[in-house]
Amino acid sequence: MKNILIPTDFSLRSLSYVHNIIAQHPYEPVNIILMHALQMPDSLFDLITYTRNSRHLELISNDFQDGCEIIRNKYSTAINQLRIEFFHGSTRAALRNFLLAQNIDLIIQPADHEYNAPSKRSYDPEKLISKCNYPKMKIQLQRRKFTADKSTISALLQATE
Amino acid sequence: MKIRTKILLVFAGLTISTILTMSILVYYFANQHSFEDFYKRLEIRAYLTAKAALPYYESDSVIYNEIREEHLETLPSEKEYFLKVANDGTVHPDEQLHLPNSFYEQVRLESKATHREGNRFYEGVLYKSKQGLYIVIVSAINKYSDEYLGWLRKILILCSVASSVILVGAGIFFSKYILKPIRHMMVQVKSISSRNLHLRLNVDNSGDEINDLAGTFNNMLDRLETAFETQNNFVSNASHELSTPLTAIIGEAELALNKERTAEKYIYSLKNILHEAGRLEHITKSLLHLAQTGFDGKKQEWQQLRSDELLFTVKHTIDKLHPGNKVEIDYSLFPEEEEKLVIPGNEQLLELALSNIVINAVKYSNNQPVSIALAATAKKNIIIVKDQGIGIPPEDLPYIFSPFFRASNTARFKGYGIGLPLAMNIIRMHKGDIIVNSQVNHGTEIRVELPL
Repeated sequence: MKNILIPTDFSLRSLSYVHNIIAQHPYEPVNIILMHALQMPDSLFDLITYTRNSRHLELISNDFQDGCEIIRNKYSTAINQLRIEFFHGSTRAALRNFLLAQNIDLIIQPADHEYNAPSKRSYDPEKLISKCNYPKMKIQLQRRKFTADKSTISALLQATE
Repeated sequence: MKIRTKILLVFAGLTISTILTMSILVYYFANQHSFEDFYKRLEIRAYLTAKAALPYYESDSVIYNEIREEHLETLPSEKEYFLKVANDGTVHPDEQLHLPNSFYEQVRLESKATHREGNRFYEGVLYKSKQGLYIVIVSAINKYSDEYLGWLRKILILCSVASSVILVGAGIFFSKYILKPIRHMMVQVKSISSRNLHLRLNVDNSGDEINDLAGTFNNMLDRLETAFETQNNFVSNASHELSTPLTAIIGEAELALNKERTAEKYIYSLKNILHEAGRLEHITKSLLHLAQTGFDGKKQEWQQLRSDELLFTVKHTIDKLHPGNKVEIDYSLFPEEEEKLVIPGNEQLLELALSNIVINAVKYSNNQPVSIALAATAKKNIIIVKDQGIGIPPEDLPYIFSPFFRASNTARFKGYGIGLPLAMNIIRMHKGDIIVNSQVNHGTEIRVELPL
């Protein structure tokens, strides 16, 4: 069973890569890990009080959660597990440790470079990912004609059109 | 009982009972201690008396007496008794003394005993002298501690009364102060009636519960005002909508009747009248639906139904009403497991709501493609209806669910503004929600969420 990592900014666009992944792994179920990268705090006090608390979980929007559930229901046989992980840090070593700990087999690289940071500490891990020597896969989403609102669930629909 | 009195009673009751308990405990322990103190004094006297009266050396007697006279003042009605203990252990009690035998026993065994008769205190000690074994008993009235305890009692009672008065006063002020914002709010709420529903309560930024309450009231007033205005508009709009076809019918009939006409003209007029009457019937029917669904929803039959089947039925209905439509069901987000698609609801009503939404999508997009997608999360089913029509102007968005409201860009299309309110009523009955996203001239996306 493959563990596949998708960097996410908690937009539904990042969830729509799942469609492509499933299309390319038709024979066995996969584990999908949605990784959100956060920078470590700069000040000492923040560092001391830095915990895995609900402050990070608040970044996950309801729409994103609904989207995850929809994807899980849609591909309930093709996806073994779909979960969200936070990556704390901004160095290559930290990322290497994270990838090792999660036992990642494949990293998805979005080709369109759209990243809307949902918080001040969030950052696009694209540069770090391109430097590490894990197997990678670039996915290009189709350009959309129009979007009423980026965060709606219909973003998932457009990806499959 | 008013809350103010309750607060006052609880506050005063708590504090006053604490103070009373404390005073009583203070008095009790002081009383207890003063006895002990007095017994100690009696004991010293007993030993001194014994040493003076039955000394080892005669010269000692003088010294002891001197000490007694100089340093110890006589206690009120102090009395001394010397009782000789016989060899066999028996004691001859003095006639004036009325002490229980257990007292003598205790003195003999423990060489010390105390006894109390009302105000008079007795202390007995065992004294061994040259002449033999003696029981020395000193008794006196405990006048000092009586006075002292009396004073203490007076002070404690005085303090308790004074503090009770202060506490009741403070309680009155306290309860007034606590309930002031509530009374203030009550005055404000009383001043709001149906004529000045636009008034709101004052909310400052202190963020306490009272302010939350005021905020909640204001929210309720917002909803009330909206409902009130909708109701007002409803009547005027409804009568307007009903009178338009009626005017057309009357006009057409009058025109046909004002002179002899050919058969074709009559047929034409009658057709026009029929058309308008059909419109009238449609409006009244929709109104009836709207009124029925606005009720509590207890009369309708509820059952478990499949939301995908619902979509197919809706698609079927639309095919019958608008042949040549481009409505498509989007299967891309369908869940694999069927049981995720079972929702509780009334099939007829849900079908009515969804077909209203889809008919709107078809109508306002001039028969361009419309997609209906279905997705399931863990707790709800989501139906997304998307068209490429004229869209809804953002300033009209808040009102699209009020009856007879029509967006400003819909003049070219026929309609009465009943479909969406009806759909909203039905979805609300099912505890669901409708979320609308729209861009003028690009399209509208309506998301219907139905709980599992």
